[in-house]
Amino acid sequence: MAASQVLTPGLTTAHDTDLADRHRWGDESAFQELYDRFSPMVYNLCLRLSGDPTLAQDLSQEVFLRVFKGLPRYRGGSSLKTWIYRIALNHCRGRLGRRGLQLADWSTAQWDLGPPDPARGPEENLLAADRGRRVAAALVGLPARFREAVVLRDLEGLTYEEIAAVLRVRAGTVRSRIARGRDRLRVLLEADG
Amino acid sequence: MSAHLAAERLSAYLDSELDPSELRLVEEHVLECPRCQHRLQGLRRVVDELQRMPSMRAPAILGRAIDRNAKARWRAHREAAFRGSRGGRSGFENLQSVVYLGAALLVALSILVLLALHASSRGRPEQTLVVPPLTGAEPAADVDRVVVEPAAD
Repeated sequence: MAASQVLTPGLTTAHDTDLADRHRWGDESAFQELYDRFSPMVYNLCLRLSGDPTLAQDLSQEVFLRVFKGLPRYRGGSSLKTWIYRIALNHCRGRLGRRGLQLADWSTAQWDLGPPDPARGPEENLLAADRGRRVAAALVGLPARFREAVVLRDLEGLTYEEIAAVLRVRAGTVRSRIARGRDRLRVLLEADG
Repeated sequence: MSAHLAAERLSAYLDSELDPSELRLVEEHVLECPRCQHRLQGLRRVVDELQRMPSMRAPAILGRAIDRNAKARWRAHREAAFRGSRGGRSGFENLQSVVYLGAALLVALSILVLLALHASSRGRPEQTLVVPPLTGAEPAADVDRVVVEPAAD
């Protein structure tokens, strides 16, 4: 199953505004529900943009505090998913822009690539893990504007329209950024063998 | 054969984001062009690799930290609301508000009165004082009499 299917639960805007209203009226369970639903999405986005699990944890926490603070002002103009992605992305841009990406230490266990596939042999799993590490490293090495578009499309499974709404650019720009990001990854990975 | 296809078209093709005419063009071109075929395969591999990357669960510690933080904020918010409902403002603050409001009303009223006076003075016709020349034959009682006549135009 593609990661996107796990990370982007289908939400209606009516449900979104209802959640925001409950939060505004003081229902503590509303924020908990929102956190349960969106924390994997936010954490993964922060992880793929920063390339560092510890930093991703800090970033996610800060994003949720921003969401908590901003939720009473949410009026349902866009879906909650798009709204939270936008907050997360802007926050990551601000933080990563100041600190720079954590590009050191590609080869260590920093990249949590999930459990090994039981259908594969140990050698195959090692190769797959190595490949996964190289893809993750290449992804973090992309210029931010391409990396954001590729992560939102291929890892988070957003449509071009949703990405355009999150990035606040035209759909044509989204198409171009995704293509350029993928093509750079292709060149990097082909050169890498 | 036409020129090679741009990565943008090939990438959009993988996402089914091409309109029917573009789609046909790409499919026909790729069948005949080994270079574009190779590029398309490379892009497809990249997409497959990316989609195969596992989605991570947020660490439990993150959930606990956020929960603690959110609860602390809610407590602060409720306390503020409670203070408000119990008349948390001091008597001095209330008096200050009344004084400010009164002063603002007074200023507004003065401006209105001034505007009204100005408007009424502009509506009235101009008047001229005509003082008749004094002659010695006239009685002293008439010296101070002033006749006011409206202006000619």
